Amino acid sequence: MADVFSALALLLEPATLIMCFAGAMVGVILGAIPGMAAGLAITVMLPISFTMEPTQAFALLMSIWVGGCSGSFIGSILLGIPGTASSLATTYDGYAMTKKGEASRALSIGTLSNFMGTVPSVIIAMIACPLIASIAVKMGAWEYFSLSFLAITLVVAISKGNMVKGFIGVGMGLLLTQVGYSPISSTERFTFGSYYLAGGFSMATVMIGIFAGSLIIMSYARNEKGPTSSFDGKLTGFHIPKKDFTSNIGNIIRSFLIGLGIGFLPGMGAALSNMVSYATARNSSKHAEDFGTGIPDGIWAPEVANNASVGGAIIPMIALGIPGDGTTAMLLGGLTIHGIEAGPLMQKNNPVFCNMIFLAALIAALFCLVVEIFGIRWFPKLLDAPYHFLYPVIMVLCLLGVYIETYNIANIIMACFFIAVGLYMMYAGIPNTPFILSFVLGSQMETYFRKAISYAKGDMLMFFKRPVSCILLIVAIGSILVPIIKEQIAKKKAVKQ
Amino acid sequence: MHRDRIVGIITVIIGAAVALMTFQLPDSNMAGDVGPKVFPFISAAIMLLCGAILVVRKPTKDAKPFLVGEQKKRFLAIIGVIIGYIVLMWAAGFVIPTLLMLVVLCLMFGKDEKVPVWQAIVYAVIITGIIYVMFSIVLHLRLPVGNIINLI
Repeated sequence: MADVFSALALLLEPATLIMCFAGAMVGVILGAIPGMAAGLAITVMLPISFTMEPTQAFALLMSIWVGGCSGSFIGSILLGIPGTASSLATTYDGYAMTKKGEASRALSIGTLSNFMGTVPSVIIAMIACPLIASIAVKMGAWEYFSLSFLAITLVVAISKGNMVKGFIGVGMGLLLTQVGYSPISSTERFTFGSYYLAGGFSMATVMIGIFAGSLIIMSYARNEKGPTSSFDGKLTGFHIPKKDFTSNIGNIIRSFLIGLGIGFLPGMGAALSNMVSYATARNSSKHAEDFGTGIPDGIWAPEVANNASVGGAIIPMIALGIPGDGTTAMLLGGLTIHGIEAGPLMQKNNPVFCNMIFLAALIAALFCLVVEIFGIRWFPKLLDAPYHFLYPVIMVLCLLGVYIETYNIANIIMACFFIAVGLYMMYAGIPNTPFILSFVLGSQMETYFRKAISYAKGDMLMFFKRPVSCILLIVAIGSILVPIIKEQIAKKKAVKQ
Repeated sequence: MHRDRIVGIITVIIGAAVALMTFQLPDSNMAGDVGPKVFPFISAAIMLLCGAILVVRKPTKDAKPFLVGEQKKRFLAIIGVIIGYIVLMWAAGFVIPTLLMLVVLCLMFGKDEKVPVWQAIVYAVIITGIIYVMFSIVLHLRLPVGNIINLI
């Protein structure tokens, strides 16, 4: 408990609180603007955060993440265009309520449900992480390798109908981690004698190229500027009729559990949990036929679930050092640069910092609630975002962020190479998440693999002889084979018919 | 040729190149270590196998064109601006290239909204000023100073 209070004291320092507030604001704003998302803000801020104190840097990054998850419902409700995929299901009833003239009621429900999703899920993560870490600390190199392998296969498995391209992303991600000196034997690989490649590629350079740079270039090339319509209705203040809440308590708890569970699984996260919880709420409702016509149940379900996924995703990130998606992968990269290794030992080695991460998420959720309650009337303004002002400054910040990592223009040229890689991935239809996960986990997977073989005196079967490792590998292989077999069966059935 | 097949061929070429380069890597000098070649070989194998599948597999549907008509020109234009910015930043440092880049990009992105030039200039001056203060003064970071003096 002393660690929690120490972490709270760190967070309550004015500079850190300002970072929390600024992060939450930026997150809500970018989360609300279609095509932006908090992931973009985290990408841009990642290299800049390396120059800050770790506490302030993580207060900022966590707040952007929480704010981004929170803000995406605004577009869904007011225009029927979600800020990010995590609020897709909210459009069904949220926008229907707006069309009925109940936009303020819908926005108020969205605001409160975000808070009710994030806060308990982060508290659960706070309790669960030490417990999971105490079990995980007993795992060996075999189990860690298998766990990382499972995380990657789960992400590939959800690359719907595109598993081959998902695996190409994995191959590319792994390949990039092999540039520079290898783990264990320190062998120089694929550096072509270049001094600049000897240290490998930094997380920020890769992310800025793949995520941000290519996104801005394609937005310009395709002239994509977000919503063409704008909200012209009237908004009153924050208000939720008591009945809207009391009649949805079961729905809220169920959606929360769905969000938490899905958030925990690699690759799934808020984009899936909002859809699953909406479908579950509709299927278990006594008035299922009303869903889609603009009822509060259809906002509570996706918005509680997508925000509960935040807590769910923090658990594997902190307790196991395994990221669930691109954003948590970047946060993990941020921890590494600050000299903190996420995983079971983090609870033991950096207990105060660990708690600071959870508390930063809680404080950010509180800031989001306050900002959204008092800022409800200004929400439509966010959707009229001036893209011609936003994209240029993001582009400049990306390139400068890459520069300040090494104070060398060569790093910017490297980022340009990754912009080209990102554009190629868009052209080829190669999904981002398997690539990023492999890039983040690749180096440690190789270390675990080589250590495991070495400890087992060359016995490769040891991965299957150890029960936990064996189960993880079976689930991993199953996650790839089951969709393929299902597809083949479906094809055969279709041919027969 | 269908885009999937092109991607397949590129992937196979990369996979083959990685495999060839991996053969030339030295073995580990540590006892019991499987060595630094295993993971590059795994990457190469993934690329070769998946690339080959894309080449052989019958494409299921026609891919949407990546860029069409005017989009190609826009694509090349923004790439040109970014390359120009990097070259200018290398030569002349942070302030002037950033001002120019922001004005140009603002006008390019705001062409449909008919953003006036004066607005783009005011925007560029304000943003460059904010970035300069934040990076240089608040965060004590070094911004590019330019090599033009060295060249002269």
